[in-house]
Amino acid sequence: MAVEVDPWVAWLRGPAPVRDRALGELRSILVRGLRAAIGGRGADPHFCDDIAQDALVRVLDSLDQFAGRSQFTTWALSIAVRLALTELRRKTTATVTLDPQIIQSPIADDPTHDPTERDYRGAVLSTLHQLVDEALTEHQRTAIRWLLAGLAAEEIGQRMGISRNAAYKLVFDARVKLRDGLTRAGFAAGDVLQSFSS
Amino acid sequence: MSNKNSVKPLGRLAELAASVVPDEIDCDRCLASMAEFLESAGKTTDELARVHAHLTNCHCCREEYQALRAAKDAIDHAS
Repeated sequence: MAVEVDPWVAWLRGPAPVRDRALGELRSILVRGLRAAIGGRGADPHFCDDIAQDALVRVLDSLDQFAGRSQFTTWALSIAVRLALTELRRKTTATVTLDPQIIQSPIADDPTHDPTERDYRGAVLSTLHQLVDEALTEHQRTAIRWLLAGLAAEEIGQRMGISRNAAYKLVFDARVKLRDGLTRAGFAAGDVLQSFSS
Repeated sequence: MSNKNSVKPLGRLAELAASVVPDEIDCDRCLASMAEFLESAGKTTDELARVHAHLTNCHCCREEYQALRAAKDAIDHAS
């Protein structure tokens, strides 16, 4: 049985006139979508046009990866949006600095009124502080400090010279170690989550 | 009511550690299914559930998802 090819994919792989018309239409869609998505973020007037152009190149290089599980234009927009926000984040977080003391010793100013809960939270945080020092690698500690400073995986990766995916994995592995350490110390994840969730 | 997050950032780290799930996907895999997730309209698959979990924990991807939704709304309303 023949596999149905999405019309956009067929156009973008078609002869020059068809391909050029599709590229022009897709570029227009990307620019409109980007303007709606990031219009209020102070980017210069040409930013969306430039990103749309870069996104077109990325889309053409990735056509084989489009699986047809969404509209083609939504998939293309997802690529454009990632490119745009990656660039904007790079500009806006360049001045964030790392505070080596951001992971402080357990707190003395927990405003929780219930003494039982306050004791529980204090014990969790004391254990967590110890786990950060003893169970994590230096790379994991650094990634966690950047995360708690307010940076997302993208910027953590930039600061550490690794990809966004690698930064996310570094943080993920650290979280697993900390959760396992808390569990071994008798603090069930569900209870911790209930006590600390925002 | 007390502010449970006034013990930041260590309290935030406790929350992050306790909320980790074993089969979390990474950012690239999330992006690969983000458009489908946006259009899923309540349809649930294992992969879409993983996308949802990733969006809960990843600020970057959550921000991109919200931007993608705004972009798609603009395109849909214009057509």
